[in-house]
Amino acid sequence: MVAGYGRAVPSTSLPAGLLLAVGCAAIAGCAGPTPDGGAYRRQAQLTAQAVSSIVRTATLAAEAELDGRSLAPFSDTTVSDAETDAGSAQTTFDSRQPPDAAADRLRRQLDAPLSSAVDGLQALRIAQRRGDAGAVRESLRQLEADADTLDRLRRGIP
Amino acid sequence: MTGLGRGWKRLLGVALGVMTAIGGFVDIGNIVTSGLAGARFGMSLAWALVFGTIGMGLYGEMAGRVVAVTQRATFNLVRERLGVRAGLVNLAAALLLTGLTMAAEIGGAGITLQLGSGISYVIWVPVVGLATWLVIWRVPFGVMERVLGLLGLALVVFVVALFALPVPWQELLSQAAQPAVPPDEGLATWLFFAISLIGSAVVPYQVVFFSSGGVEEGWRRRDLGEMRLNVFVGFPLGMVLSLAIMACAVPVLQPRGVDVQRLEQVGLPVVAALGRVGLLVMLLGFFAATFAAAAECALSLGYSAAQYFGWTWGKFRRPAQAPRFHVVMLAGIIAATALMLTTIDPVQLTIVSVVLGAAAIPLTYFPILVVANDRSAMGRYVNGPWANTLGVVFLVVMVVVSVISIPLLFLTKAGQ
Repeated sequence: MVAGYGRAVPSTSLPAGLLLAVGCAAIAGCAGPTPDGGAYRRQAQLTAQAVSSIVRTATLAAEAELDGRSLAPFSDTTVSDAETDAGSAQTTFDSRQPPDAAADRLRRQLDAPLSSAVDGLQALRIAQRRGDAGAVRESLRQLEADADTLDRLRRGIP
Repeated sequence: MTGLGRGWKRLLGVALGVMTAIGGFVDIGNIVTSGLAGARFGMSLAWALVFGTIGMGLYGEMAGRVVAVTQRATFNLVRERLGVRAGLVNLAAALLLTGLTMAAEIGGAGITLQLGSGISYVIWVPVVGLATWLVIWRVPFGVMERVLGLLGLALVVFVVALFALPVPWQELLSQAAQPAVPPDEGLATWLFFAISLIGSAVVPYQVVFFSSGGVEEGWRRRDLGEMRLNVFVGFPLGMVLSLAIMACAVPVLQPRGVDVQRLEQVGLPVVAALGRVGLLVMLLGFFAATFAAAAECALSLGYSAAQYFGWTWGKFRRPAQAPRFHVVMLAGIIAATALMLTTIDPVQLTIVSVVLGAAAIPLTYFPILVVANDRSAMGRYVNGPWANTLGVVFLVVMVVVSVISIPLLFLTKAGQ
């Protein structure tokens, strides 16, 4: 994530310090204020897409472990990272200021599946570490539903 | 030893060199950008990898030829041909980019160890940093290059996985042969990732390492054939590994809309196809590729600075004989390790470093092209018309890439 929009500068003329600044700014992930409804909708789309991707990553890893095709540290790291990333995506989206009433509605629509996905990933991580196959399957069902909802919402955002 | 025995030994040496070049071609930049591009754009960006590898082959061969004929490595030429001030800017950019790349490689090795052990990569990062320094300090150059390069061949597991997955071959070939921007993606984002793939193939540190390694191993004119085999066979086969990583993502990650942001996501297709054994082999390949690249980056830092300033250098020299060369490497390893300990995202760091690396390529490649064209220095080994034409075309394209890469980095918010 990049903080803002930079002026186009030919890279060959950039001194090393500026290159470092560009790199750090690009990596730092600072989020700027949301200027209008269009940008808010775009942010909502990106968040829905990101969390859906994260959820499906975790389900792929957890399914592989359920089938005995993966190693516990690999699946555990993948699910834990997914939980962290989903929580971070939700927090970033929640920190955006909705600019109007339509944005308020969009925020409410997205909030439920986002929260459900974050909670589901947490439940999946706990079930996986306990070796509770039944609970893992239950979490996977819920997470697939959340990812489908997020995909549907993303496609529906104008 | 009989003539036959010597022949076999030489053949084995050549085969080892080619296999080392295959395994050594792939680093975290290739792993991340190939996996990411495959999951998001299918095979529509395969051309970028092919283009980058052709450029790397062209300039790798030129740099190797210059070393074999003149015994002079890249940054020696940079200072001579660009002058002291422009050379210094070039050196600063190279040190910065190689340092960033080394941090990403150390992070990648740490994450791989986490994926295999469950222990946080933050614990592993200093261990990897220390191991990198120990390898540079204690392990002979040839052993380091061969062992890590050969272990990197474990990434062939992606090629095996490709045949075990339900791959839509015709669709993949069609995407690769007729590249087009996917309907739900923008041109700017597509181009940004094309640049990242080109950058992953032509990272500046690899040319510095390759040419300086040639000096370390004492290449002469008689070694040109072997060097060319490594470049023209080893590098393209290394590219095949990157293409396999990209293709594996298509049937597993793309249909599920998985956007690669973590190293483990690149490995999911192998897990799906080959299970635990595949996963273990893949982790070995990830570790070997990233750890080898971290060591190469550290050496490249030392080579670049020492060659520019005219210090004594060489891995075969003990620290007391080449203190400044060893101090630069040690300082680089410490700085890269410290950067990773800030918990900066290694995948984002990789993407930014390969894109900035692509932008800086003309600075490194131009002096090589100039010297390879200098008949007074190269004699009958001067560039032929083909090498010149292709080299100039590639360099012109890279200048364009250099100009547009920074604006694209901002415009696409690093590819989002």
